[in-house]
Amino acid sequence: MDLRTIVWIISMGITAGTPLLFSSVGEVLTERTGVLNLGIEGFMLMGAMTGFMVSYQTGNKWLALLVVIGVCLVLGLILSFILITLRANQIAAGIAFTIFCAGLSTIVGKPFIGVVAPDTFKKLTFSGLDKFPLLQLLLNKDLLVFVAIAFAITAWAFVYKTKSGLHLRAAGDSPSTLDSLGVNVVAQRYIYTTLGSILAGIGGAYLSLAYSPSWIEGMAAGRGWLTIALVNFALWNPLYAIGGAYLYGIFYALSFRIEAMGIAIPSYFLRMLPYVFPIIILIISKLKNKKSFAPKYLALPYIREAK
Amino acid sequence: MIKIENRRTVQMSTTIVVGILSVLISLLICIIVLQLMHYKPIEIFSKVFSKTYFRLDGILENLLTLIPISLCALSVVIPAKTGLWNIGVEGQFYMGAVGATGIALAFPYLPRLILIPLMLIGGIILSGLAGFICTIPKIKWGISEILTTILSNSIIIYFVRFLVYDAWKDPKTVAAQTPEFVNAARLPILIPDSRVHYGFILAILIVLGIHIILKRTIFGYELRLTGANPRGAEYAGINTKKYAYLSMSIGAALAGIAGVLEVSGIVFRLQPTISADYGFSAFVIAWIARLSPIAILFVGYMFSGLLVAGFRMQMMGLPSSIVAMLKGLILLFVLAGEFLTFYKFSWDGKKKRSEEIKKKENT
Amino acid sequence: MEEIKNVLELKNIVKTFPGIIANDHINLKVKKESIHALLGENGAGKSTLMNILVGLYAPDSGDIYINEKKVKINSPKDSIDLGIGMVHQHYKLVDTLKVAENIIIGWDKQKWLINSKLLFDRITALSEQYDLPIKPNAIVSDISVGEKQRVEIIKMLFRNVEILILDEPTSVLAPQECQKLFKTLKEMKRQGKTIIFISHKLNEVMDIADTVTVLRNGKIINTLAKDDTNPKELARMMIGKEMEAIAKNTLEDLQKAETVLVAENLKALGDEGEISLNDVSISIKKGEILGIAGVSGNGQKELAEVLTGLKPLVKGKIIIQGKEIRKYKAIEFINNGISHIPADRIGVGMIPDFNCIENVILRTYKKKPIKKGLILDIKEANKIGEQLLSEYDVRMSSCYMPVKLLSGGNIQKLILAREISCNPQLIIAVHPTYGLDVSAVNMVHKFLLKEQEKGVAILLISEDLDEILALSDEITVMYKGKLTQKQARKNCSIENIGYAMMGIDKEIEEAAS
Repeated sequence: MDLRTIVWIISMGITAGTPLLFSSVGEVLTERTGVLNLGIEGFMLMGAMTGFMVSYQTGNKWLALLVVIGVCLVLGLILSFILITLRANQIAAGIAFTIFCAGLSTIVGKPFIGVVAPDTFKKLTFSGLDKFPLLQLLLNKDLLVFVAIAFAITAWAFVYKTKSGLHLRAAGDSPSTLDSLGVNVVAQRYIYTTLGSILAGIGGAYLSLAYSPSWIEGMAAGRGWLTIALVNFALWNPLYAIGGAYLYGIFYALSFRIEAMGIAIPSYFLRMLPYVFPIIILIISKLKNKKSFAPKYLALPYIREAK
Repeated sequence: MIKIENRRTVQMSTTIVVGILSVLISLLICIIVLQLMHYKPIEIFSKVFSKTYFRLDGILENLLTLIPISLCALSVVIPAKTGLWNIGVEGQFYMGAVGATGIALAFPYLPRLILIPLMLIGGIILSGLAGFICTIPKIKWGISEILTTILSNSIIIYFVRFLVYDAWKDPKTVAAQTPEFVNAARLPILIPDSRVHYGFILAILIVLGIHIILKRTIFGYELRLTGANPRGAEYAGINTKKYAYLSMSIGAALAGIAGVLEVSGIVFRLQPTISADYGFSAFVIAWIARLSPIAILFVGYMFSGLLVAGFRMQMMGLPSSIVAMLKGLILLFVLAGEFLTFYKFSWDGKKKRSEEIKKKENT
Repeated sequence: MEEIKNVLELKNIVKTFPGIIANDHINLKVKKESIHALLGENGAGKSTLMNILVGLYAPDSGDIYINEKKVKINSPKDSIDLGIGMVHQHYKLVDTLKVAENIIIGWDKQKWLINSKLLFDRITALSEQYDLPIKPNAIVSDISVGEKQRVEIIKMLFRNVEILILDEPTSVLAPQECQKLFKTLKEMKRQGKTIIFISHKLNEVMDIADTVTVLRNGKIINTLAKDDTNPKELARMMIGKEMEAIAKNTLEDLQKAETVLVAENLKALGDEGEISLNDVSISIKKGEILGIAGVSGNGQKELAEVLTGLKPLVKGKIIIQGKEIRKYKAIEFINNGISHIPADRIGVGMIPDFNCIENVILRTYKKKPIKKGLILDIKEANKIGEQLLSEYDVRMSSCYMPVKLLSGGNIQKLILAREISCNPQLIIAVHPTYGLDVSAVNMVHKFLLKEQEKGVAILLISEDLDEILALSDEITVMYKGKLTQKQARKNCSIENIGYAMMGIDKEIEEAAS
């Protein structure tokens, strides 16, 4: 395997991992405030379908993105209401929400299956890089890839260096402390759960507007569930989420490439790899480090009057 | 001012009312969505639902679908009683089917009385193993079983595709399926002129059996203790790890049995589409039935009707995924409504309340 | 202009919860720049009242006046803006954050981007002004309990509170640390702050307070200047009746009694992998009460877990009645006659959602007549359960109600019923009277002493020095995973125990000076 192939694989990995980077950063923020959002798969599906539908009908990918944000904002608020104010069991509600979104996205998206979208995100070209073909291979990506990385880095700085980040972390690790100091825990959870939902939607939209680009039923293909694993794997740190998402992308890209390289493993087993690796890496990291990095009050509703 | 207050006792009537309201509101929303997309929902719904629930052939189809649905729902319930979430029902279902198919294809010459129990054993071992493996990371390293079971679904699906497109592919057709089963591998029909097979008896026996085991045996008591408070159970001397492994493996095996019954009772071969999304339906049903085996029979029957209706709707032009929407919505509303069973909104009746308490103290 | 005398006044505050009146028409006046104690036993309503003052609870009716102006406190933010701050009994700190970060959470004058240096300087200045040493860059989960308290105090001073409320601040401190705290409080008063001190300990209140208000069953009994009253009068006001003294008999011939349990060189790890038991050895004889004093967090929880099979040993052995325990599982210990009254009544000691009967039979369900082969005989279970519950006077509206609805005292009675009814040889009681009112405390002590007379050995692990001194035959102190040399009760002084609790070896200190 030569250098070019390695860079190619990394490059494919980055593109393949971008939808997961969006959703992982979003879910890191959500879980840090103590909310477990298992509706991510649903939001990705809705994002993919809505983005494609609007782009097809209006021919404008930016408008499509805007509508995706709007739809996920509304759905995110509704889910937040159920999880936070109504204190529903977060695991069951997230799964129910995903089932609902799967059905809704399939129904509304039916007319758009197999159609070609007129306006999608294309790869950017940097003219100065002709002399460095490998670098060009790495950086010839569409805009959203860079947006995702920027988001991850911003999120990291936000969480660890700002006052809001402090409140975010306290909301998940010790909500009663935050409450006793006059900060509204419920508002924190609403904001970041909704934000996380929007980011997952954008991740889904990336699939249908840049990666494929097309819409098929069930497009997210389990990436939403993988996000949950990746958040664990990233130790709830947005910066590590970059590594996790791209690692997934590399495995994903590898699974196609290995076939083409003529190695005789049936492709089906390779397709399993992206789902096995997060567990293995989680086990390895647990073996090394007994401490749990999970927010202490994850998935527990905050109730002020104890009686 | 409106305040949120704890209720002192949970009321059964509220639960039932919430359940019924959830179904009605969800139906309404689905009708609206379909109407907006220019389908004719009300017409089709009324035709399909009356046929499904009120005509004999509909009822029999429901009973048929009840078999995998009730077993899969139990597959969620048993681990839930020990506090574990089994979201891998779909995959475990397929593993059961794989086990049965393997035995059926390998030993076609055996008589039915030996072959079918062997198929069951094969399915149980494979699916139980799948559940067991998903539990190991949780017990040993604290890695959530939610993650392992959800991811196991995807892994198993690729495995099934491998078998069906490659290793066990039927050479006679291009379709993605294994060869047909011999007669000895097929379950005989229970109710004549229908597709309801002997697996129905097994399913009902299992449901009732589990209900009795949970309520009346030491094993069931210790299992429930483990789920109700794992630290308290350990303190009482119970080996919680053993129960965790057991409950998940048994749960997975139940889904596996459903898979075995599906391939040996209805489909007679392995395909990648034998599960009509039983896995996630099971989850929804288990929750609405509040983890009670007996309630699962009733809620399960209602949902099998929904599933069957879904197929009929598709033939009449409505997209069948409306059923998925409906399922999701119903569960969401039930969960949202649970709020009302534990809390209530109260007006400023607190002044009255302290006077009430004073009165009680003085008498 | 008249000088404002009362910095705080509460008029007719009423607060109810389902089934009880927690605060019944409370009228309270607190003078400026004084140390005002709120005295009452557990459950009297002191914390509830203060929680109203800091905006965590809303009163049903009544008014609050700060500096003689009526105010409405709807949230913690309001109360901090008004200059009121509280150090809660269970510290409100985020374990995963640094000390400095904990101090600034929610502080409205904090800029969006955190300037660590500025913060460090300001905190250090405050820390020196009031002599409260802390390490601003340490992570909260790594610092000691005493230091956490200082962080909480500085957190409030940082926001310029004028009225500082402390809820049972001495329950986690060694006697010498208490004295240091009192010195700090007096200094704060001198610098113009008003202190409200919540406690159920008479002696402390007599020591530190200028004014004392006694609460009982949600009502104010009286408010007196300290000099106008005495401990006996306060005790009577607090409890409302004369308390019978507990008669403790030390069994004769304790020396000749048989040894029930020997633990040698125990080493065990805590929940985060750190060494929590470091070469611990103890032995207990039949009919002996061995008291282990010490601030919690020094390995007591792990010791109890190791001696009941809930935690594996890294090294060492445990021998019960001459037999060495090979399998470190809870069931082994239970079968060898060890009973456990855990510190966490609800989280460990019970199954909260199950009913009273199902909980009380947890030690007897594996034996006949409840167990019949594979079946659980529900009728027998109900019979035996009801009998036990009435024998130990557990008050409940129905024995089929979920156990989590019971009061603290009744929960403890249920646990005692369960643990004593299986005729143990050794009872390991950890903080058995935490949070209980005086009559419940007495009842628990009576039951334990009754068992002692029958020859049962008792290992009493408690933070409450009074309890240890009242019940124990021999006392040892636990500090950072190690035990001090056992001393007979009559040879122990509070002072020496206090030093041991803080890890100070008095002899070495004296030799050094």
